[in-house]
Amino acid sequence: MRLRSQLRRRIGMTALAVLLIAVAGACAQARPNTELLVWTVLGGSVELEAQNAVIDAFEKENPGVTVQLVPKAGQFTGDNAALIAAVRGKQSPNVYVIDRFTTAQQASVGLLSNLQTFIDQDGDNLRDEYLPFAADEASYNGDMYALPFDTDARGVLYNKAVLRDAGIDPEIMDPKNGALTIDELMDLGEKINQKDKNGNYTRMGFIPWDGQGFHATWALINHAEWFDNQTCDTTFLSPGWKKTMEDFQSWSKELGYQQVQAFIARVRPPNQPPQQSPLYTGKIGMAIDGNWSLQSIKEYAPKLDYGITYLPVPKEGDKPISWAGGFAATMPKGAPNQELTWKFMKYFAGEQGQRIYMSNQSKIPTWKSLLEDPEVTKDQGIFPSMMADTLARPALPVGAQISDAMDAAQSGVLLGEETPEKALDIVQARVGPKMKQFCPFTLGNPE
Amino acid sequence: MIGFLAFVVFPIVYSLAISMFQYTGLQSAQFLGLDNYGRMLADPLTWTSLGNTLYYSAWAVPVGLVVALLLALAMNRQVREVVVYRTALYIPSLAPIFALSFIFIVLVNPGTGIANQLITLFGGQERDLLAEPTTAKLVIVAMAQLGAGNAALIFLAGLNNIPQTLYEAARIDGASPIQQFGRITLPLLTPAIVFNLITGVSGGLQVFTQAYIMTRGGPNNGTLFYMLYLYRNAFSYADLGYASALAIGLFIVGLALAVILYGVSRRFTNYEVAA
Repeated sequence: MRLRSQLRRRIGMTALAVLLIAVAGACAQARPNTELLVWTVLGGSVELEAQNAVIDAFEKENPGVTVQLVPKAGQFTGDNAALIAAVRGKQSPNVYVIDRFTTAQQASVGLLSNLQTFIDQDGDNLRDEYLPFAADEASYNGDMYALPFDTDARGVLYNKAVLRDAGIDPEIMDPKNGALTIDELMDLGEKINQKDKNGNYTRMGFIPWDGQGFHATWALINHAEWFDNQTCDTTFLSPGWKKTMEDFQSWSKELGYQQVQAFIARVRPPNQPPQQSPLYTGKIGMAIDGNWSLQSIKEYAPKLDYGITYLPVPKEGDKPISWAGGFAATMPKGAPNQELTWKFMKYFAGEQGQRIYMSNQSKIPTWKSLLEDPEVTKDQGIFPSMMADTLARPALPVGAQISDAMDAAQSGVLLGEETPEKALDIVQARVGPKMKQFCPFTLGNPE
Repeated sequence: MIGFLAFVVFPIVYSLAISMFQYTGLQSAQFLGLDNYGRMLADPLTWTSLGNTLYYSAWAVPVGLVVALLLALAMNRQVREVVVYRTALYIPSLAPIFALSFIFIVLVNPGTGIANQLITLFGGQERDLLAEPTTAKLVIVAMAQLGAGNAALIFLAGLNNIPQTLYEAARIDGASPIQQFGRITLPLLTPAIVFNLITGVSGGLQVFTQAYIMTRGGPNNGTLFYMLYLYRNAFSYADLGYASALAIGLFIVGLALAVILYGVSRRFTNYEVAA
C-alpha cells in the first residue's frame, strides 16, 4: 500500500516536471510579432557588421520591428544539426542565411519553406531580378527556396615582388594577355619554388590544391559534367573529372605532397594573424583565391604589390571561366510570423539590402542592376566582369555528399592511396544511388 | 526506473524503429523494412569508419591502461606532497576534449609545435602529421592519453584495496619491487583493469570530437570514425533512418566486444582479496 502511494507520488512528480518543461518550452517559443530571429553562417566580424547594417536600415524603415542576428556555423558542408533541432522543436528562426550551394539539399529534406508561393502571391518576377546562376542555385525542382544574397568569383592572385625575385616579369600574368594555361602556371610556380638544404620548401610558387584550388574549381575549369538530366544520374566518371584527378596525381608527384603539406602547415599555422598570410609575406607567389580576399588585402596588407588574373585554362586559346558561390536567405520550415519574415527577406536580399551589405566589403551583388553600379563593385579588379562567364556548382540535393566524397577522393589521389579511376568510382558508387532517391529531378530552371 | 525507461529504453526502441524508415525527421517517414541495414553492410564507409574506430580503440585503450596505471602508481607514492601530485596528474582529464583538440593542432603543427622539432632533431623531414591518415590517427591516440586520469583514479582505489600485509610478507620473503608488482599488485588489480578495459573500449567506440575538430574525418577518410560518419548522415545529409541503423550497428558491436572481453577476463580476474 505504502509502495503504491510512493509510486503514485513519483509518477505525479515526474508528470509535473514534464509539464513544467513543456510550459517553459512553450513560453520560450512565443516570439512577439514584431521580433525576428536571423541565423547566419556568415559569422566573420566584417560580415556580421555588414549584416547588422542591413538590419539597422530595415528596422529604421519599419519602426517597432526588431531583428536579432545570431551567428551559426557548422563544421561540414550542409551541417544542419542546429537547424534540424530547431525545426523539430518548433523553435525555427525566421531566417537562416546559408551557403547557397546547400539550398537544394536542405530543401530536399524538408528543412526549408518553398518561397515560390510568396513570390507568386506578390506577382513580381523576382527571379528575373537576380543573376540567373544565383537564382538557379537557390532553387530546388524549379521553385525558389532561397533568395541569393551575394556572390563571388575566383581567379589567380599573385605577388609581383615574388615573381620579380624569381626572375619573372609580372606582365606575363596581366589579364589583358588572357588566361595562362595550367601548364604555364605550373612552370612559373616551379621557377619560384625554393627549398632548404634538408629539402623542406621555404617558398612556393603555386600550390594547385591549396585554398580555392580544390576539386570543384578544377572540375569546372576542365568542364566536368556533374549530372545527366536524361538519366537522372551523377556523372563523376566523365572525362573532365578524370582529368581533374589525373592532374592531382601528377602534381602530387611533381611537388611532393607531404613536403607541400608540411610547408602549408608551417606558413599558415593555426590562429595566424591575417597580416601574415603567406601570399602577403611572399612565402607563396600565386594562389587561386576569390574577390573576398581583396578586402583583407586592403585592411592587412595595403602596400602589397599584387595582381589578379583569370583561372588557368586547359589549352591555349580556351575561353577563361570563373565560378561563383555565395550565400542566400532562406525561411526554415515552421518559421513564425511569415508575412513580416518575407518582407524582411526581400529587403535583406533585395536591392536596398545588398547595396548596404556590399558597401564596406569586397563582395559581388546578385541583384542584376547593382552589378552595373561601380559604386557597389568598386576596387574589385576584374572579378565583377567575370560574372558574364561565371559557372556555379550544380545545385543537386546531394551536394554535401558530393563535397565529402570528393574531398576524400582528392586527398586519396594526392596521398597516392587511390588511382584517379578508383577514386572516382568510389564517389560515383557513394553518391549515385543516393541521388536516385530524388529522381525524377531536373537540374536548372525548367522554364 | 522512469528515468531509465525514458532516457535509455525509449531512445533505443525509437532508434530501432526509425532505422527501418527513410526518415529526415522533417518529412513523413517511408517504411523500408531492413533496407537500411542492407545498405549499411554494403556501404564501404561503414567498414572504413568501423575499421578506423577499432584501430583507435586497439591503440588508445591498451596504451591508456598502461599510462593510467603509471599515473596511479605515481599518485600512490607515500610522500608528503602526494595531494599536489594527484591534482596535477588528474587536471588534464578535466579539460574538455574540444579544448585539447585545439591545443594538439598547435602542438603537431610544423611551424609552432614541438612534435616536428623532435622529428627534425632526430634527422627526420618535417611533416604535417594531420595530413596523413595513419599519423593523424596516432595523434588522436596520443591525445587520448591526456584523459587517463579517470582510469588512474579507479586504479588508485584498487591499489588502496590491496592489503599492505601482503607486501610485508613478500618483503620478508625477499621479493624485489618488480616481483611484488608482478605477483601481488597486478593480479589484485585485475578487477580494475577489466573495468577500465570495458569502459575504455566503450569510450573508444564513441570517439568523435577530436576528429570533428582536428581533421573533419580526413585525409582520405583516415580519421572518419564511426560516430563521425553517423553524425554526418544524421545532420549533414538528414538521413536519420540510416543514421539510426548505424547506431544500432554500433550498439551490437559494442555489446559483442563487451561480452567477449568480459568472458575472456573471467579467466584471469582475481576478485578474492581486492573485493
